[in-house]
Amino acid sequence: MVVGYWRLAGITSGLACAAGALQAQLLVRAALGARHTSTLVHDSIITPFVLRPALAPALAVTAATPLDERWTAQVTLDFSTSTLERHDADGTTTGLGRVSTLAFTVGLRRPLGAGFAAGAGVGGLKYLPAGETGIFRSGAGGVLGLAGAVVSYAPPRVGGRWQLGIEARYDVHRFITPALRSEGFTSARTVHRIALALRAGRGGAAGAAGAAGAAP
Amino acid sequence: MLACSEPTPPSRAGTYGFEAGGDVFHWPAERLPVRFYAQPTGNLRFLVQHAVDSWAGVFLYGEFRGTLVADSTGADVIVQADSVPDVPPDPGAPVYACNEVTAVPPIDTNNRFTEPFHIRVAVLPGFTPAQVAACLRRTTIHEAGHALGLFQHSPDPVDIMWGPSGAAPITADGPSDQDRRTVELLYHTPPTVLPPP
Repeated sequence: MVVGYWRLAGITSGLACAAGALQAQLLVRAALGARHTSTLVHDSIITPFVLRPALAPALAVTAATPLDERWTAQVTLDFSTSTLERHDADGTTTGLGRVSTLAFTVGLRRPLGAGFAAGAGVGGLKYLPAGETGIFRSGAGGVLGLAGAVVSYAPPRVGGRWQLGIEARYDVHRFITPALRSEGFTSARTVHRIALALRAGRGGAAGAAGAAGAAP
Repeated sequence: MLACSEPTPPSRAGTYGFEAGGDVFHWPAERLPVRFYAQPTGNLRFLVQHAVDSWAGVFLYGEFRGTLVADSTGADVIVQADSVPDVPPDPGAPVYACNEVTAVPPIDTNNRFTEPFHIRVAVLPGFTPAQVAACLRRTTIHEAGHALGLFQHSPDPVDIMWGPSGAAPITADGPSDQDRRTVELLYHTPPTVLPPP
């Protein structure tokens, strides 16, 4: 009975230590900024026109943990929302309703020195239209493959525990919807997105921050 | 993951005519949504809503939207009927159980329609209410197509805008691919006639 008690206590304290170590290694960052998205659809009926989302607010939340002194593994959830717009050749712009995107990426990041860091990742992106109309009348077409990169700068000793910084995020995916296929589009279009954001992070502890190069 | 070339716009070959005597009309973006009024008779409002949804659903780029309004004052399209059976449509072969006509308004000296479009629905005798309902469901979409600016009939019976001669019923249940291509082309063609004030 006594032996069992001490064994249980040992296991419990061991788990507590492991959890504490994991917590100390985990860095959580949030970045809020603006995103530009390139053309989703280029079509021509009498005259050419394009569809693309308007400049969108973008929020990214990243959880990262150092793998060694240079590399950090991270997962990022990214959301942005804006109006889908049709831009006609005569300069007119027509709003076609709200469209949001939710992206999930896993990747690696490493410091470059002087407060800079760079990372890359892959994942998936889902379009979330407000209604099933227009190019989304038959749905958004599932999760699209995504590849991206991020460059960040965190000035040393700015923001204290909040690790303030700025970052530029770029990603690329291929876009097509079932309605566009029905219309006669036979292949997807390459879509580029770039976001500039201010970010803040917590966690990682001093040791982890040092391992990740001040966690840029 | 990335292709070397970007997709080219699809060919939209295969359309029928939509102008009337050289006049081209479609509802301009600043007049959307087009306001449809349906007389409160039977399920006429449902039929008109179904017709509006059928046409709005074929557009990819927001060229047309319509809405039902409760008051005919200020409506762009007015749909009237003596009677409309409120029963499920007959699923059998289409029969010529109804008749509808769209009155395109006169054009003034400024090339502007002077009044709303009027669609008149008539039920023919000798058919079951379900057969009439099925006929009205198809024909209301057809007439709404005229009010959108499709002033000609298609020569192809698979199109909702097919113009049957004599006592032949419309057989399409909704806009076909050729209807879609034609109305898309219409809504990207510069109009020569302005909408009613």
